[in-house]
Amino acid sequence: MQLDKKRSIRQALALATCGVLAHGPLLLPVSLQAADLSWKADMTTLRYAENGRVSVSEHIASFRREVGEDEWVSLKFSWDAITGASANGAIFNPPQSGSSQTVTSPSGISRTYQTGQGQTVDPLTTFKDTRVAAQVSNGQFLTPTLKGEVVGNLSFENDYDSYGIGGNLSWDILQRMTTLTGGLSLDLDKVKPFDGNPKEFESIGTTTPIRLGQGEKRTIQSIIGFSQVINRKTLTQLNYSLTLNDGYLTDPYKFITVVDPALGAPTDYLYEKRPTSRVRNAIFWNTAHHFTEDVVHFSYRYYWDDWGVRSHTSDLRYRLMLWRGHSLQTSFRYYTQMAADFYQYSLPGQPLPSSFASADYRLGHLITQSTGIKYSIHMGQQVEFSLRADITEQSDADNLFPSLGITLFQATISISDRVDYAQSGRAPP
Amino acid sequence: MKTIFILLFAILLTGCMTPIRPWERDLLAQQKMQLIPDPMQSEVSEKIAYSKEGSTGGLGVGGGGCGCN
Amino acid sequence: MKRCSFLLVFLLLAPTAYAEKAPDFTLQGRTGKVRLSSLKGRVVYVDFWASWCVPCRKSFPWMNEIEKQFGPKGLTVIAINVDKGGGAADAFLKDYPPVFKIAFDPSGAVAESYGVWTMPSSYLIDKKGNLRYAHKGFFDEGKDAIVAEIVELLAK
Repeated sequence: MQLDKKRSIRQALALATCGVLAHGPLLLPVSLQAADLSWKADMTTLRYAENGRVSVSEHIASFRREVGEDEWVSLKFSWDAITGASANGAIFNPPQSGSSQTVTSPSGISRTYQTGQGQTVDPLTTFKDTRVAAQVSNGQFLTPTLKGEVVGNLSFENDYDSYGIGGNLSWDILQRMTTLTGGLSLDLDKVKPFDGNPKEFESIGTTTPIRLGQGEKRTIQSIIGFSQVINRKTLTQLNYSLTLNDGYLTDPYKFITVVDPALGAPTDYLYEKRPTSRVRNAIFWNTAHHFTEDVVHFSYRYYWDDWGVRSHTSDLRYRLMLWRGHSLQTSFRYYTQMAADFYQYSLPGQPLPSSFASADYRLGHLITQSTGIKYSIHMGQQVEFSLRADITEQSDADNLFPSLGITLFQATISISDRVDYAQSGRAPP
Repeated sequence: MKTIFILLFAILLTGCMTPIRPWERDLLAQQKMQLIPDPMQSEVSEKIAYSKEGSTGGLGVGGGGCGCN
Repeated sequence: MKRCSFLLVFLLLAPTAYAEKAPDFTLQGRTGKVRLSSLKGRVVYVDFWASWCVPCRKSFPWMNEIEKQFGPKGLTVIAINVDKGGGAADAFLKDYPPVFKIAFDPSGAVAESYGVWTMPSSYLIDKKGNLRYAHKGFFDEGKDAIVAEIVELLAK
């Protein structure tokens, strides 16, 4: 907006009453008082733990400030540490005879594999990684009903870097009952495991491994949608997003086991191979309904891509308002996924070089169920604190691998310069 | 696919027929009534889902709110 | 649900200047009733606000200024609250204490009669009781224009 034309009201009034009005009010450039600009800070810390697998602790700090009448800037930093092990797609069997080969895992920790007849491989790859990320965004009202925002992202970890920029527009129409939204973002990722990316379908036990250096992954994500106010208590939204991935999309730490059908035992372990492009679509429907005190949110997403993965995600959250600004939110999430075309638990023999194969359970036939509760309290009119616990079970619908239990604890504090006068609750009993 | 477009049209239609008054947006103005009421929770949940599952996308910016200015 | 269509057509052409009788109202204030027709002979600045309306937090200190500056010269500021009860309006008034009149319109009937298009909205009524200017929203760069209009109406 026109920062150069802002003037103090005192000066304007003084001039007006002095009868300068005949020549029009003088335009004196005065910067907006710092006290007029509002800000908001959010901080969250979480602990995520998979049963016997990966643990992550993450901290995010976000700060947003108005920098003009209709303009704001926000900064967000996150850092996390991930340790533990994750399944790499190998099938474990008791050892028989054979030579040994040392293979280094991504974080530099060595593991020994038995190769030759009676192959055995540790089905888990250990990780120890730290990640630092930053996001900066600037938004403003281009007109009273059109809001625009630009966003920049950076993320660095031991074996993965990501750079991204994006923007979105939000347009209120039809007396602000309908909002049209559109967004576009571009990301460039560098996949750089410890000793370079492995050659796809190469045996992990080979004595002369071929390493391909860094991989690059490019992503374009676009989203269009609209939200509609149905009535005083209901708001709904429908979005369509199209994501295009291009480049190195294989996971360098995942293997696929070759199981001899006659022996019924693993004979080789190969690095997996995925296509170099992916077209991903999602339709997302989100609704919020107010019961005058409590609020319910329900969303459903249907996703499909050209790898054959399809999924349905349903999410329900009910926030029960208690007395004095305390609230309890319960949430349920149900996710089902159909496997990628090239997803296989194991291979019956050496694969064709032109084909694709992955045993990564994340591309498989999954069912994930989550249940969570979150308790929030208002401390004064400007601070909100909440504690959240979530339990998830991720299971294989084909029952080929055991289910995974995940627990999550998250604590968040939000401090705002802007007082929320609406935080009422039920009268104390 | 077809059902989604029918749903879309129905939603738009209901919106056009009963516009709410600007002074009746008190409930819509509340933070807990926004389409993403708690960005910190959404961000963490989305990231976990993206890492542990094969799907992505959908969540975007929203509307509603107090409709002020 | 009935629209005050005549007024609305004018309001759609903003910033709006027109001459027609301002809808009269009698509302409960903080100390007694507030009636528009009893203010004939004074210039009246009517502002519709709510506790949940963020730009209203900037408009209150400014309305205090103009009340102090132009009150003795014949201006009356009335800020009509459209909250549906619950004490949020009182909490807001504690943080932004007004020197001007506050009236309460929880049913929104007066807001309807003025054809309020967005929150906040303000209207200037001249000494004869005619509605002269309407403003949608509250913007820092619009403050001077409103002051100019007030001075113009006070001079008549």
